Amino acid sequence: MSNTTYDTVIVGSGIVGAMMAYKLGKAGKKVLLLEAGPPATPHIAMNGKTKQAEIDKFFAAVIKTPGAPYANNPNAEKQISPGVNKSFDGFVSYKSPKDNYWIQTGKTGMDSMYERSGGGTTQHWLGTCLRLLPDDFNVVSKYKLAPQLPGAIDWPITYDEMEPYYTQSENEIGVSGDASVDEALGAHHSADYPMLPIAQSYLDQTIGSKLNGQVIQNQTINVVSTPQGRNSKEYDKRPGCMGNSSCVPICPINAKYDASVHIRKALATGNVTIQYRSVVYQVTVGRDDKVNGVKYKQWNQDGSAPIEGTAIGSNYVLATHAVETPKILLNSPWKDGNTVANSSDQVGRNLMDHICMVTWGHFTKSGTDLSSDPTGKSLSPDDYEPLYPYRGPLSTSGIPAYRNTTQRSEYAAWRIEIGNDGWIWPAGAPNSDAIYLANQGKWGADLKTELRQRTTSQIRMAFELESISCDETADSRVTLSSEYKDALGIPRPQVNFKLSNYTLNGYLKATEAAKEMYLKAGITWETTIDAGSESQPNPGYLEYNGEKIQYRGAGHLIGTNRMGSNKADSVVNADCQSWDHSNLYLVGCGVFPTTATANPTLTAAALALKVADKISG
Amino acid sequence: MSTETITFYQHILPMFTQYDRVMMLLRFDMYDYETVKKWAPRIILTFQPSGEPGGWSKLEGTHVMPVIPGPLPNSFIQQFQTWIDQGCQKGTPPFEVPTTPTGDTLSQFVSLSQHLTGFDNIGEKGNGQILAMMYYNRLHNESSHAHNIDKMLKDWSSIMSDAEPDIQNVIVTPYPALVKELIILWYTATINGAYDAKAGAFQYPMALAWRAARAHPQGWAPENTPSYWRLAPANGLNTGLGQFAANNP
Repeated sequence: MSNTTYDTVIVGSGIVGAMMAYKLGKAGKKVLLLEAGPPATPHIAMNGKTKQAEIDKFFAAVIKTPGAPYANNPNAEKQISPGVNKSFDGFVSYKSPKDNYWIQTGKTGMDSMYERSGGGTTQHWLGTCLRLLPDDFNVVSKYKLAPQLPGAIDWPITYDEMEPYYTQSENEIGVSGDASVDEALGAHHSADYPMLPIAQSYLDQTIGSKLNGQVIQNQTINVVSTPQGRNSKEYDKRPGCMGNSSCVPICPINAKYDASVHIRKALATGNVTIQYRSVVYQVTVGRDDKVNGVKYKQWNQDGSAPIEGTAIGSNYVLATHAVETPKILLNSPWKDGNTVANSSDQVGRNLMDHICMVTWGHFTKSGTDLSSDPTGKSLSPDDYEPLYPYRGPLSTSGIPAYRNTTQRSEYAAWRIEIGNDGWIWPAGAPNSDAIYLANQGKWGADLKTELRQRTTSQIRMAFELESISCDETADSRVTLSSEYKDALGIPRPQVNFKLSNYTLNGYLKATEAAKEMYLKAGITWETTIDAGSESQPNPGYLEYNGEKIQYRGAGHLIGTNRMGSNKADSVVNADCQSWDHSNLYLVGCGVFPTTATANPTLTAAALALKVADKISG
Repeated sequence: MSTETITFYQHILPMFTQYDRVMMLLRFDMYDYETVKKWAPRIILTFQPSGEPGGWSKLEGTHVMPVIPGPLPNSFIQQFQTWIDQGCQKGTPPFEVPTTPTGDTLSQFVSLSQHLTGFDNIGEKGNGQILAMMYYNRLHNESSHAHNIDKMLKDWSSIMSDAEPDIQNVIVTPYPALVKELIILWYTATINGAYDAKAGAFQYPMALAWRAARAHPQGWAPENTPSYWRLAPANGLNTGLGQFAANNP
């Protein structure tokens, strides 16, 4: 819109864009931050409504998925949970182009989603802030995976190089945690977390008392506290967590970090301009192979025609996450038949997620014998024992025993997330239980008692599996739809999701470990696999090696512009700098060549701070 | 100078956050119009610093509110003053509080709901009573068995004073579908899977399924026991609703 040339133009105001804008603004750089969507609700009620409208929207949402409270504007359309319709009150096929933003073409689906508005996906994230482990950065060479996974590459950076930025990002976000957990896994912390850990729940402690010290698949189980971007006391003028248990999708009191914090801090430097409702659709490159502009369409609330514009800077950052970034790049012609930043042909390829094996059951009274009846079919609710889920943050502990073992030379590692959220995710509990009992004709004290027995004993655990980008995942990719465009006329993303056998083999092994864990912990195995129906197929259902699998997405979109040591097989270098255009940086989860087993946000934030340092010199 | 009319629902309430409300809930409900109108002259004093060190406000013994994230912008304080000056106008609430049913119909619906849900104090006071009226009306408007409601209540009235009313034979067996809907409505705030078009966000926090689970509705945990989730629920505490569970429904 204006003729200003900025030091840096950043596209995307999620955690990466917002943190980079803040850091660069603090260093005296003039930054333009372009956001496709509308502003996030400010934390401090500045000129209008607080978050209450979004909280109310969540309360009254029929299908409470991560995107339910937040705007979904056709001009900056987001991918909602596959299978849920755009008004969050019904189910559709995840494959249907008219009902979804993405056009999914894979044999199975990408089951994750993101936001497109100020603050990005941190508005609805859980808040888990795990670091990668040192071996995660060179898993391919350490576990000699080259023969099994041709095309796989290691990260071109090390844990030691990332460590100071992990510490910085933990302070910026406000992470509560216990560093001794990482120390025990070989991940050294140069400083403590800024806050003491969020308390482990009664459920965690009870399960821990059953499982700690047990050996399953050669590993000793330990239930440990999860570091999270959630205040355990007042921090940064935001209150400590009060256990609203709605982290996903919305923290009503802002104890959970979201990137609107850094949008506000970036603006306060006086050097950052943010421009909302500006959808970048193309990067333009000059004859010197340097980027000379990003083109956008700025849409209006009132439906009047969008305004075209070009933003110009000395440096450019795409912080638009792992689907929108390749979409923009693939829509940008360059030369010699290549699109921008794609001499490697890797842009859009290697789309990965942490696929989750979600397991669930009822905790039973001590002494209940499940060995002959692991699913507990012969039991009654009188045999259940309370764990009291549905309280506190949605997860406060995990089991890290399988994050980095010799298993990785054969199949994928996994991390176990212990949920405090009962059977919300797999079953829609506690409503589903109330409806089930009422439909059985139960009423009064009988219904209340049985509902209490069922809900208080529910537990779910998610086994989150790693993926490694390689030739097998090259076809797991984001391309541009040749047929479908969004409301602004920009091609919509076509997503062809594909998993490697390495990951699927890990899934099968994780299933065995889970069953043994449930038996040892006294939890009934009530996990079911559901293909869905013809009209609503489950995106994560497949048959593999004679087994039925149903994975769910973790909300982690990774890998589509991977970093490496070599311009032939990667899109960016160790500084997230495009090999092809020296003033273009692609920052975020898209640069990860492997997913390892940590939720990716903290690593993306650390990279954001690291690259901001590089750019500001 | 603009003389826009400032109203509670359109201007004042949107200034408050859920955290503000929860922090004050032991004293009063900041989301309630009558309450805020009554205390407005004192509330506005709490927004303004006294000038003394220590963060004290113009209301004696009270710090400047809100403590977190910090003082309101001056424009908000001005707006609150204008609201007082204009007589604390109400504005348009998001939903209308029902005025019917009343009398025997309401008390029969409430007592039957208590027996069918197993929660023996619902629907009697404050927001709980409003909820009961809303649910009665929702069943009339949204249930495909609405034609049976008043007959069911009449049958209930004939046994409700019995020492041990024969609910199974007089109510549950003759009206199975309506009974299920009523129970599901109280437990989940939904009928046929849907929340109320206007008052969904008001009804959801009072859904009984969460109380049956000894927990709280997602997104609404006013209990101020620190890290309550690390302890098992006991004596009504450590649920996330804690001392507020009895307020409603």
